[in-house]
Amino acid sequence: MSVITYTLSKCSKCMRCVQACPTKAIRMQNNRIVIDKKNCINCFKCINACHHKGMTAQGSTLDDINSYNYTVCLVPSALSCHLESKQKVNALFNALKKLGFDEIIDLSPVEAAVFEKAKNYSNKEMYISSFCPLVNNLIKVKFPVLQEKVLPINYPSEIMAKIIRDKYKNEQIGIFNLCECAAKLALAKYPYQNLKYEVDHALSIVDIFPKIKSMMVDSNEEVKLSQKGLSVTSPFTIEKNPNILVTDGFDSILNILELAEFGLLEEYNLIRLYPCYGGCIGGHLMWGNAYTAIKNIDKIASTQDIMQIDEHYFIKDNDEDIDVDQRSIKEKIKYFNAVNLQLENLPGYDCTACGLPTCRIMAEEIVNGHKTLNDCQILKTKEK
Amino acid sequence: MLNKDFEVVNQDYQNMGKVSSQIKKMLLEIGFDPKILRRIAVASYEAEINMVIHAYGGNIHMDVDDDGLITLIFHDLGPGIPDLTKAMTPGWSTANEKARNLGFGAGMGLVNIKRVSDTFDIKTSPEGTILTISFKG
Repeated sequence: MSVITYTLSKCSKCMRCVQACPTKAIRMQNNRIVIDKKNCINCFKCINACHHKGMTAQGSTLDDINSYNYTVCLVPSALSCHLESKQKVNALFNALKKLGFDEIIDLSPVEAAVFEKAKNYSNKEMYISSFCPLVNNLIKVKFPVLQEKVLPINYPSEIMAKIIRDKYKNEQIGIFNLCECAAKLALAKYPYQNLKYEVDHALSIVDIFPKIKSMMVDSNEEVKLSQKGLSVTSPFTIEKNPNILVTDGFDSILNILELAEFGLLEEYNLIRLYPCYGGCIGGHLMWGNAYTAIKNIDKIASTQDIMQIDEHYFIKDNDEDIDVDQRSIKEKIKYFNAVNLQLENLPGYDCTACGLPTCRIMAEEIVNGHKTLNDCQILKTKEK
Repeated sequence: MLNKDFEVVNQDYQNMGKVSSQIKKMLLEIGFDPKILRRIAVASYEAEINMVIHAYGGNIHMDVDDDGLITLIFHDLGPGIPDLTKAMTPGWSTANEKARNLGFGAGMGLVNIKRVSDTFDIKTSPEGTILTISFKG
């Protein structure tokens, strides 16, 4: 499910987003960018690549608070880490209350519990941590071979939302999650109509922060953050364990997933991948940088709490469906050979001038009957 | 039907694993079940590495039939395996120091290949070794 919004009026048709997309989910069609909702993994690469601010990731608006009798706001550790002192943490929670939320819940003890659960899942086989939706989607689209190696553990925000839902069984409550990255904006019912999630609305920190900045004044209420939960948000602060492989950065995780596919990382029990540099604290929707935020962890933490959670809350039941290819092997091979035959006629530069990300996809479109060799800009120039 | 040949160059440590990557990518593009692809990736990587380290390079032939049977034939130009029983023993290795320094040569190569493949056949002589493995897709 893609959370990326494209603005036609800002687009200069430079194809930078088409080239940047690691899952080839973007193409130019009828002079406008079209994003394939199934293959988009919300990695932010197209947003970074666009020189004209034509791509954005948007969450729900605060107006949605008014649709519920009682509202709960979830605050992830990644956000708390960007506050320099305990006073500021208290002030942030207080400001969120002033904004209209009835209850503010810190996710750090849940995040700690999810990490403990993942850590103790297996001591025989290698598994990949499932806390990051971007990694889960990347595996689904690009490394399906590793699908069975992804832990069946739910996201911390979903686990907490389920617990809240059970607590307020008969009431009409709205659960809002503050998101530090684009990928997490998809983990809610709205604004993207993913009705299988327990969280109602995903809010982007970028949208909320300017509104609460002036409201952040001292408060008497004390928020107790768990050091264990805060530290699992970054590869630099997570506990050192010889059986856990931890890395950050998109290219680095691609490399690790490739090695895992060849079965070369079986000596590890857990692989924890953070696509954002510096970990979740380095989420693209955060206002500060990850490396400064890491310094705050010891200053703002007051406990070592790990939330005690009933087993059934951990179970992941909201995986996106995988389309099963109904064609027979014979048909698949026939199609593959036909595509390869067309590919021989194309230049193979993957220049994107035709609007498609690669020559291979162009060859597929020719076989599908949607394009012809005349649509290739390079061949057209050569003819002249 | 699909046939494809790949060349593996002797002692080419820089490009080690590229043929296995290509094979895996190709089968994924065709649309094979990811579960079988993981076994193929593990086996082809091990076999390719063996060819580079021990067997002076050679040729990898891939054959996919219309029923989904994937056959991989690794034909190398190496000195052959003097004692096949020993080579099939976990932990036994003749890898040189260069290979061991790179983290290869743990002596699990052939053992692992046999473990993950559906059929396994190896013929060896001083002129070279032919390893044939297949997977039912």
